[in-house]
Amino acid sequence: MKTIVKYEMEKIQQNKTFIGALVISLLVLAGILYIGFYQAQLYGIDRNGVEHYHQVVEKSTGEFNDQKVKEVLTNYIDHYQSDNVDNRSFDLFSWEIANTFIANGEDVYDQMNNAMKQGDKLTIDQISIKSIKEIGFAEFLEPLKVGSFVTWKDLYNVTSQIFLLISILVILVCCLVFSSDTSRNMNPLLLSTKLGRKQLTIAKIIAATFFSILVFLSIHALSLGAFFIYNGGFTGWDTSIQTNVSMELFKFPVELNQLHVFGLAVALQFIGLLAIVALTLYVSSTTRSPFSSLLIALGLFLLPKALTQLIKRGPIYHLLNLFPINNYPVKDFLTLMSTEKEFFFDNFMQNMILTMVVLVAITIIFNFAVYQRMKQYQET
Amino acid sequence: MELELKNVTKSYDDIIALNNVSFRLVPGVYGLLGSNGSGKTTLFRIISGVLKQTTGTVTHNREDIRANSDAFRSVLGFLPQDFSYYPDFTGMKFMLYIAALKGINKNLAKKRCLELLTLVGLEDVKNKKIKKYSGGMKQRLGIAQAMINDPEVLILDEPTVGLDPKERVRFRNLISSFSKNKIVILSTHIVSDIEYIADEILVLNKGILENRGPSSVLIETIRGYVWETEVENDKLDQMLMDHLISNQKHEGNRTVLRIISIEKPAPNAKQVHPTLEDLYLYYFREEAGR
Repeated sequence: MKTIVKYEMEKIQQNKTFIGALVISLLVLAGILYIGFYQAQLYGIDRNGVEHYHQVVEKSTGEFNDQKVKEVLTNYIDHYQSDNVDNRSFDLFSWEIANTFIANGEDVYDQMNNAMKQGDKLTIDQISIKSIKEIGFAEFLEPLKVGSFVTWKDLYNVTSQIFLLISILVILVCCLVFSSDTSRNMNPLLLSTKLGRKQLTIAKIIAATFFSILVFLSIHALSLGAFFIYNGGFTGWDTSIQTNVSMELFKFPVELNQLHVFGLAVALQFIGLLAIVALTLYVSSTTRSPFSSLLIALGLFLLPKALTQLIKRGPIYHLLNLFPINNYPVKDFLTLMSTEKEFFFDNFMQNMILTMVVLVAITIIFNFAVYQRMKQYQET
Repeated sequence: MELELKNVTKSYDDIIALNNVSFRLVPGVYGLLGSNGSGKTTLFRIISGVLKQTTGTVTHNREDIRANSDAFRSVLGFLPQDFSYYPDFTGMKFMLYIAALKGINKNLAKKRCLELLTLVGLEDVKNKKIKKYSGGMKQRLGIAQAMINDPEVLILDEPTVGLDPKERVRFRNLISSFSKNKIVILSTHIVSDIEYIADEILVLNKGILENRGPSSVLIETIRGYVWETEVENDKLDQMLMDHLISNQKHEGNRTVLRIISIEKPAPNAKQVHPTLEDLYLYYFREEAGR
């Protein structure tokens, strides 16, 4: 079996479509990482934004309470009013906090500018700040923690974008696995060998799945590496997801930190990817050409998204939300799965587990269907 | 050892590709003679288990090959018609891949693949990519892969396509040396190949097994139907229109025609000894426009 898997892997690697797709994917990945991390809003205008952001984060990390918010805002308006306007670094961390907590978020900048013009300074006591309770942040036994969140939001955006890239690359590769042999008219030869129906099919499924996992892990590793450089490590990992005010998940009902969210997102994507692989392999086993296989598999991958544009409520809508295309963006799956209105249960973890179970079931069903089909395959 | 087909029919909607075909084969070399569309490939695909017959049974040693497909596939070697190789595999790698699919132990596979590549004259190019092989080389590789598992039943669909005369001689010798205690069935349009190596010929016409037997016996069935006559060139067109011509040879202003006809085609026509090519034309005269 190992030998056959090895040959099947080689067949994938030597395929011209794969080689072309890999080159293009690497270019797209470079683009996603560059735009996601190195052209991020955090850099500001003068490219000193990241350095300034980390200085602010260091001072601001800790228990998330009204006092902490006040401290952050105090430093923010001090910094805003003390610096020369032309040399002022954009403090995205505090800006997001200000945007969330200052009652009339935009007016405060006018007030500070006017005060500065008059040689005066606006003080924190002159600003109306909302309390954590007023905004409605979720409460748990342990207090929420605030820390670096802007960079993590960028990581989530990149993670969401690379899922699309990985999915398309994997569909492109997996659609070749069976249909390529069919189009070459190799089936009569392969399927008339002793192991050509059972072990070969299993080997093809293993090779395609293994290859897809490899692509998934490699691309995520590259993304994490780029994030590590961008974020100066993994600082902020233990920050509560509710305090990632850029994402506006203040009321998110589960006590999760940013690393948990990232882990869940990757796990969900991973299981979704296995389902995509299985479905694509099934399509590949039923079509006579890689191109038609690609079109059908891509269509099936995108179909749930199209259908949710037509069906926006009810059990079918809930079912459609189980598919990867509808829940791959990090913010979307956190939002969708935390309410019964969008999903099946009124409990995030139950919805998460249900989604994973359904995706694993899809994986098993379609892989088994491929096996059965090839075991009984007959030329027409 | 035996391979038996009983009342095998294959139909696609209203087209009957094979019609109630029955025969029993014991070890030996069998040549399947048939024109394009006569059902040869369909028959081979049914025997190799990649196509299901509509009715009838195929048994190997009295066991239904569909019910015992795993066991049958392990003693089967098959060279299908018209398939594309993996262009970036080398000849050796392709052989090893097929050996793995035939469940042959890795060390034994290497030895066996090398032996076969030598036998078919590809040992020098075994490490070259298949995309660099000529048509004849690919065909020899196909023949070699079919023999990796030393099959009891070897099916070769058009094995001599693309082979030059020297390669065809090599192929015939290879099959002859290989066929002891084995059932070898091959189809080819080159009737001389079959004539040389087949112990028996099966004539398949429009999905029906019309005849079978050693070539000498089959040829005897058209004894008295093959004629040679000399015609003047101005009468040649009329003769070509009226008769089934198996050969024509120009000699000055006259042409010697070899004609297949139940009746004497011309007053000066003389009966000649029939060949397998004449037999082919006799059976497949419709393909020749008669």
